[in-house]
Amino acid sequence: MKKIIIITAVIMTMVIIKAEGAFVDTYWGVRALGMGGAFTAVANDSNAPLYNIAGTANATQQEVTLMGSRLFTGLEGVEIGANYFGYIHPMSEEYGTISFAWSSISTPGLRREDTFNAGYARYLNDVMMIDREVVNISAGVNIKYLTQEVKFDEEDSDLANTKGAFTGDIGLLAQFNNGISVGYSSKYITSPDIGFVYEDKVSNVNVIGLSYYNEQLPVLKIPYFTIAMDILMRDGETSTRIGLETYVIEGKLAIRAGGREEAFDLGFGYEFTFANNTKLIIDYALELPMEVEETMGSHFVGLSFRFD
Amino acid sequence: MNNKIICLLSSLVIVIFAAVFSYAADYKVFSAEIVFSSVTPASITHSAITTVSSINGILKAKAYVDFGSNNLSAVADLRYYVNGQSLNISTVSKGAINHRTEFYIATPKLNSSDTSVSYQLKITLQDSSGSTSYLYWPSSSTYQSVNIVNSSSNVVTASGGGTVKFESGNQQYGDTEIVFSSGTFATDQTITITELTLPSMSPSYSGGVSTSQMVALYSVTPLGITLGAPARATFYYGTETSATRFELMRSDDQITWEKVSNVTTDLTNKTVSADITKTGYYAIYVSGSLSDNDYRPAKRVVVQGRDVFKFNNLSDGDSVKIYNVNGKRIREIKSGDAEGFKWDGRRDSGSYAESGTYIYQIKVKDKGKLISGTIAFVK
Repeated sequence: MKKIIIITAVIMTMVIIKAEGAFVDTYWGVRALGMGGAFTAVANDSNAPLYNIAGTANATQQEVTLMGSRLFTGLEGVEIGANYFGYIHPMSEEYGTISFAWSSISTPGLRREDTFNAGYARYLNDVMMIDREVVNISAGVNIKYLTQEVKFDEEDSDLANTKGAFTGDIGLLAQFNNGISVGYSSKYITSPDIGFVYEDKVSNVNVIGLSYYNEQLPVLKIPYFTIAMDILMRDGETSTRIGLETYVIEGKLAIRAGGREEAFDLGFGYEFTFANNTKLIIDYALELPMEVEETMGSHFVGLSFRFD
Repeated sequence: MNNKIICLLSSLVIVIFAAVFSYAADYKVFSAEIVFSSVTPASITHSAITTVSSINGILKAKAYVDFGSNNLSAVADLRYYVNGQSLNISTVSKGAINHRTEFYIATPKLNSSDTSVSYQLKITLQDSSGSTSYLYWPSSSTYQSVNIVNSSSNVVTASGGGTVKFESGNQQYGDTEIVFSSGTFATDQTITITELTLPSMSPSYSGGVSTSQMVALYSVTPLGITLGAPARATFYYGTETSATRFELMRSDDQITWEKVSNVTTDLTNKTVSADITKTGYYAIYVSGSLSDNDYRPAKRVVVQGRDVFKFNNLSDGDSVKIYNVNGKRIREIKSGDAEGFKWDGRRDSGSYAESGTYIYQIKVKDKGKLISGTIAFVK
């Protein structure tokens, strides 16, 4: 327990790091979006690489996920799409899990951001000599390559259209046997410069996540219930994300809800199981912005495939 | 196998991946080709700018650079002094250019209090072998003097007519000029074209262009002369609007306006033209009911400090809201704001927003729906 307290103290110290910069930290992974993006302490599938790389250590099967979306539909003159690809490959508890992910948000003819991730995560219980019957502790690291591409007007044609830089993420996750999980993720830890003219450092993002899982929530009898909260700090600003998830119909149909200050999310997913423990999961999420007017919301569709 | 060794090996795999990626991103570094230096002979072709409109306020030079090779890189510098003070340099760079290349290089918008500019063009050409050549216009030690003016005059003769031309100073677009034919005046007449500051509120006109925005205003003096023959007038409306349809209006007193018929618009040169039969005040209005695009900013990407997003044809009671892609509002611009309907990339708090794609929503009080779009602000 002392080690956990020390780890928590280190996390809280790192949280005060602040920086200026770009790159979107929302919109990645349909399941996570359905939970309002509160996924740092939940991370246990192919959505994990961009939320908390440590969570990929929880994977028991290989998993590939693809996401496509259209943001702020219904607004004439606004065409923004976000796409995500994730792959996780658990080797073993000893060897850990490797992962690869790509995320992109783009407006045709204007600007796009792409992030390429290569990650590794592993349980630390054996190294820290902590009993796994009490808590599972995992850690992970992501190496990221960021690019932003801008279509400048003729007057700015002297500028290069693309800027890129390497950086990394680190993640920690502690999952207690009573259903409580605590996660921490620090993203863009080196705050790389991706400016075209001036220094433009990508913000270091620090997220603390808390979640609680119960196979059947007492009193309300909600099956496979998860409630999660992320506290995200970027550019000196703090925002909170909250999410809920439950699985019904023998755990096949997931129903999700969540939100953050500027948007409310709803989602569902259905899992099809085939031979050899192979699974196909279809997810959908709808995000309704609170402040942007006249939009029919942002729509996200995902397809995931799990196999041994 | 020892756990620490496993961790080490896994980390090594990631590092190798990163290294391969890095190599892929920079592979051009290792490519090479043999090119014999042929930067020279080379020359600049440029027509001197002698005046810049004080209201338009941008000196934009057009230059052709001719040379005898392919795939050169070039850096074009516009070196200029404003009011004889310190040296300023605007730069445009191009890579892999061939034989003849066109450059446009501009100053930022000048202040209304500025009176003169002098400029020089410097082109640096370099081939892949590193051979470099420098070209200057007018020369390495001289500068072209430019007057910042708001009017231009010329004598139109009774027998031969004549042309009065008011140069905008922006060689990418057109100029204002009136071509008078012989017999227009009974005696020789000095005609002056003056560009006037726009009124804070556009005068209204009930003949089909009501509530539209005036984008340019000129006087053709002496006032009140009826021409003996129609004169072909071309008026430059500047770079402040992205509208595509315009009306030309005439007035003797800037109070009562009449519509000039058979107006043609040249969107490439940003001018409107018509045959006129009388001197007086001439105003260019955005035509009729405005389309959504008439409100949108012409520039979709702004680099911090280089320019601003300008929302057009907005007036009292209108507003613009800027959102980041997370849907969070970061700035609201209202009609009372000191900078007008412009966004320079700052949040409501005054600090610069991060580089990114932003959504704007324009609320026009007479329109039933919002006008939305995307823009990019980068640093």
